[in-house]
Amino acid sequence: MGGSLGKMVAVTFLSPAFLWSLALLLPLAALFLIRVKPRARPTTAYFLWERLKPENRPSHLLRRLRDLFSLLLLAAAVTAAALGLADPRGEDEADTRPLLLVIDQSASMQRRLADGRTLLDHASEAAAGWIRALRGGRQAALMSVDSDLHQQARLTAHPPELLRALDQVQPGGLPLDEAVLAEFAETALASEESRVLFFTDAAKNPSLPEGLECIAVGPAGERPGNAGLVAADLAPSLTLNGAATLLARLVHDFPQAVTGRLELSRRDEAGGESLIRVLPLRLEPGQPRRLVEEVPEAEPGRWVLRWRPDAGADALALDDAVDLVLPAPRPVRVAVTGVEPFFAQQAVRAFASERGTLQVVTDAAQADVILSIGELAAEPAPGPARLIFRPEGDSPWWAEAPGAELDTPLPLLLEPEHPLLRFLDAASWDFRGARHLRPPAGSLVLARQEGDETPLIYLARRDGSRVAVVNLDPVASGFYLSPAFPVLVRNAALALAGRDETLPPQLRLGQRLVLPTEIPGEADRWTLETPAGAVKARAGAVVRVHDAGFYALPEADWTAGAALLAAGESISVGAAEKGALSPQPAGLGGRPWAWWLGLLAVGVITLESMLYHRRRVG
Amino acid sequence: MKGALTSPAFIRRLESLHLLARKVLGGRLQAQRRSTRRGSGVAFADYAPYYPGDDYRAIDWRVLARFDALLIKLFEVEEDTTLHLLVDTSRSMTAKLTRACEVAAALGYIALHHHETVALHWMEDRLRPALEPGRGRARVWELLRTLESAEAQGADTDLLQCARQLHSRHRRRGLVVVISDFFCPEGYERALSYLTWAGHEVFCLQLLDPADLTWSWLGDCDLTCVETGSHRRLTITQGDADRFAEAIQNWNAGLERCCKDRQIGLAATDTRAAFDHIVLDLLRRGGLTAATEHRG
Repeated sequence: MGGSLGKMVAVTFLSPAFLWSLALLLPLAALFLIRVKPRARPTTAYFLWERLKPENRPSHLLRRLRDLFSLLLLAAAVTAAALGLADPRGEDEADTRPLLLVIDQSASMQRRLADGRTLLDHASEAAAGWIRALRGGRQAALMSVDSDLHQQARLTAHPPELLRALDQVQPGGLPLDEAVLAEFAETALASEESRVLFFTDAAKNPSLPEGLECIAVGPAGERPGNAGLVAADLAPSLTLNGAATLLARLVHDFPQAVTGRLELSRRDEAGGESLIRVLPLRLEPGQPRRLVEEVPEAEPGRWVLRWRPDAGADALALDDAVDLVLPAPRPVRVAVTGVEPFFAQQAVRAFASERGTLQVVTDAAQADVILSIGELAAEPAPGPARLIFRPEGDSPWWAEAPGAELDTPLPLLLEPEHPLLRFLDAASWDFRGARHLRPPAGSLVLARQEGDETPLIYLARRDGSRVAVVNLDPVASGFYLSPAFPVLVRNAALALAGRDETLPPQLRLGQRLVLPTEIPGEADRWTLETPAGAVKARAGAVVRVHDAGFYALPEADWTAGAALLAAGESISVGAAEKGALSPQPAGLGGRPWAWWLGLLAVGVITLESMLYHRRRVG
Repeated sequence: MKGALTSPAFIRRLESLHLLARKVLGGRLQAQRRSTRRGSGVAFADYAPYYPGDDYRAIDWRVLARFDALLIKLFEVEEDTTLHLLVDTSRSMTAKLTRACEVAAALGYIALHHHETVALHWMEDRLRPALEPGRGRARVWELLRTLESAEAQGADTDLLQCARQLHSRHRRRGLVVVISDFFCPEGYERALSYLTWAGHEVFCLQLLDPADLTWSWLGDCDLTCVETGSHRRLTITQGDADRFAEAIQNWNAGLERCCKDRQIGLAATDTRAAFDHIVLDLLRRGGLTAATEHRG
């Protein structure tokens, strides 16, 4: 016996008052007995009937049993209906924790399987089974997750509400952000008062909390393969004038080698496409494919790269195209003023060849940014942007003339993440030659003297002009010779010219796009053009990239393409472990007992109706 | 049926029927029925050698003069024949008993008016004498009153038993008219064979109710035998009903075949037909006399 007789299942009724309807059995049985008593039919040829239908013992017994059987059927139908109305629920005393059902809504769930349904359809079906199996007032909530967590239904014990919410879950195009899921699961599981079920297409990532129960969905067996672009970039060529370099990376999960082609097309203003290059490819099983290709005479603008398999379509179309932008070369023109401009000019030239980021000009009137060292020449405002080292004399860019030098400059970084300080460790700089001064009102101080309010690096804006002031003597401190000097010049030139490189050349779906904090011109909000339309956004706002297509900030002269570009969405990971990860919901077929009892009652009544029909009309 | 057969209207219909019968039969239905017994009748039958003691009046003198042989002429004996009316009064005849009695009354009326001896018997599981053999028009009234008193009763019709009892009580051969539906569980063959073997001239009149021929009730029913009260629960389908109608047809065809084989006259009719039409049709077709002539 194994020491156990099995788990006893306690049953409760949500509507026990309906059990009184079982009392109907008595009058129904009486009516039945009256009803089944057949009417006497006299015949003058009884002996002929005996010859036609000889009565043997089994048929006689069967006829008697048939009447009894009909009565039992009627009783069974009434009992089933009464029990169904009473809504029986098994009471699983071991686990009454609320269920938190999380549907994987990421792009990979759009994969269409051999049965024509998507993985999301299967996930919804599996979740519906759990919802229908809710019993004993057990509560559940429904959420979906892609790059964000979306609450679909609050915690409730009302299955129809959950099912309605489940119907609202639509396939998303964003990749799954497991960090979001992990954070939610950790919070939900912390008190051990909830059970979190995650319906997904892949095996559980070990980094997810242990208590999170992953339920792999989709039919067992081989899934249709998929190949997708997970990285792509189009940039001006470093070696050929007028050419561009295409970089692409494909992954796939086909069990066999597949062939196809990459098609690179140029998009015109009207949205039309001109096919420029076709690159045949053969993808070997288990091997991603990386491709670098020079595209001569590539015009700046919008491009699109498409993967087209030779034999039909693959399982996911979302990762088969990437929108690209080839930026036009537009260097920031930098003029150097003041004594000893050589080192400063060399610093600018160091980035002149890097995709044409910077360009040295001698005429300050043509410059976008002027690099000044020492006292400034008087200029009517608004003037060009300036990067000022060793501030001296009177200037509107500091409140009063700089005072004495600081004895021991000790920098304290206030905004270490500012683009001006990107790739730099300003805390280690030697700020020798820094002088006491006071920044103008409204300045953004990036670093100041430790224990003092003396700014060491700050940004100021006035009448449309912007300056960056670095309060040190590059000669005395040897900053000219520091590798940080050209980097600082580059960062400052781009930031002051409004070419903030925090804007990426390529966007991934689900990525958070941080808009620059500085808006060129007088506008107080960015105009962000997205595939879904233009939106206004404040400076420094964080925008989620939701749609594939082109995003642009006209004020910053920036355009980037957005695509899925997520290897985890393009290929199946661990789907083979599905069987081990699929706990079945309690209940018969995932449906409540009331459903089955109702079905039983209908079936029994149908059967009894057939018998009754036969009794009545033969 | 109280008073129905003795009403003036019915008597008038019987009288009309009698007159029609005379016209139809042209006097053939006389009481003089030829017998195989040779004796002193008027119909010449044969010659026989004269033996002492024979009637001189029977000697054919012409033969003696011509051939010098002493022969006497034999004549068929003319004897009156008893008409046995066997009316089935089992419970299966409940719906048909009135018509059966009307037909029996008509036949008895005609026979008595032709100086025939008429006897009436009720036929059930046994034979019950209803009217002892008698002749003369004076018995008509008694016949009709007896028929009026008929009522369906008894258990299953047992034709063989009835035939045996008839023979045991009436050894003299006669004309036996069986009026029945012939729904006899034990069959009719042996009974009819018995009657013909006993020397009776037999005529069968099968009287049926239209409801006997088909089965209209489908589904569950408590099938009850009207004669014995036996019953059983059955579920009757359309197929069963069709097979039942076929069985009835076969049963009646068997009766027809049986009668034909035994040279028994048979007429089948149903209760929708008027009794005088039944009888007249019977007489027109020569049913009652055909068998007689054939056997003669």
